[in-house]
Amino acid sequence: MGAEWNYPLKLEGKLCIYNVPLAVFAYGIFAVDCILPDTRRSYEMSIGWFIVPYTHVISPLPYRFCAMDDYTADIHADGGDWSEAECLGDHAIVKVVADSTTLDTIENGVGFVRIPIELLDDNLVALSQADRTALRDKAIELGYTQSEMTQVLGVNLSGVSLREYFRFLLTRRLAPRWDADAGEIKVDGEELQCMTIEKLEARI
Amino acid sequence: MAFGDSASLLDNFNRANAETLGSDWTTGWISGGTNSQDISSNQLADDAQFAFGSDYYDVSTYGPDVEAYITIVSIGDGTDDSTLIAARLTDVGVSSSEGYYINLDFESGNDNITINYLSNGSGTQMGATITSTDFSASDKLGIEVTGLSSDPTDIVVRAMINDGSWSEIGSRTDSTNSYDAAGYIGVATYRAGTTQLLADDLYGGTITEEEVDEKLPDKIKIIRSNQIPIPQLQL
Repeated sequence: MGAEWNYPLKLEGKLCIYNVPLAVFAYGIFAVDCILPDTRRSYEMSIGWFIVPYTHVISPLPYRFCAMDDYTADIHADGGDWSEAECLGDHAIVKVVADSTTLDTIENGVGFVRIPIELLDDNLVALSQADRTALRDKAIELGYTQSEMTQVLGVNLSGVSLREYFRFLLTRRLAPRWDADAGEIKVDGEELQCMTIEKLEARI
Repeated sequence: MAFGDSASLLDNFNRANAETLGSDWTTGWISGGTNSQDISSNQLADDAQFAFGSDYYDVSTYGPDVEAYITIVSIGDGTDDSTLIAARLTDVGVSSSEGYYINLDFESGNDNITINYLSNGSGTQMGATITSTDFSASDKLGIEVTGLSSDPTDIVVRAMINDGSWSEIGSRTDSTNSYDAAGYIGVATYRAGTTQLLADDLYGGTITEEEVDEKLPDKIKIIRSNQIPIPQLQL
């Protein structure tokens, strides 16, 4: 083994090093110094899953936007990002990658619901009964019926993964429309498909 | 092929001052945009202060893969001053339009750019506001829409700027709307400030499938062509 260290080593096709142990040591220091800040940063970033309402702007240019955009500057300041999948009830499922303190701040957004689970395949049994009840109530508030929820997810969300819960929420959505007479945006149009939770997960 | 190579000049707005854009244009492609934009000094001009004007070029449809751009002649100085450019507009009307648009919202520093879809005339912003670009007079604002809802890569909408050369401001993917048909190209302006919003030289055109494929990353080309390579042992 010791003899092997004395053989010339060609690194990246151009660098010949005879004193390999020292070079490896030096290269190691260099690599750690270069890579660690980014690595440490990525480890510090957390994933947050939210159910977020759309904000309607009527004047001067009528449009609506996912209310997570109110926190875009904070998220980008962390080096993070977010993406949304529109669902029923004029809401969106939003994945956020940001510092955990930013996620805590976002949690206080008006109408925001944060699911304190990072991995989609984790089971909702990790949540308190009160949290699971809140998620069930949220689904019904968005426009799903108790019976279709029971049919798809069962009577108790403790046996359901976060992925399965989101798949249910992303079963359908309604098209928005401009109601010129009322001068407002209504989300009561034709039934449309939603983005899949897998696509949302892959986006950021 | 680069962005803009498929586009030809649709309107240089070189004609007498008028309260409308003329016979090749129809007013009203977005909610609230019920006013006609004007011709002023051979350029497209906003309708008036606090008026939201929107018109689409009704001579022909383009697409479904489409690109369009317009030169920003003056920079807005009021809160909410905006210039919008749209593509794939179908069922056009302030309460019926479907398609995509870019909203350039002028700010004192970097501008706010949003990428939106239109449903029944109502705009919905896709993703976050993009704040990395500061438009100057004579820069060009562009929109590119490629792909179909049935594609594995979905419909991709790109916001573009030319400040000497073309670059992407940002892009959004739409995997839920089925806006797959060719459509009209539209422009809209809203002014709250005192500086009249002016734009000039609208270009637009259909991008051929070969041109779209050329722009895609190699991995996406493989997926689109269903030619998944078989790994080979190299000795």
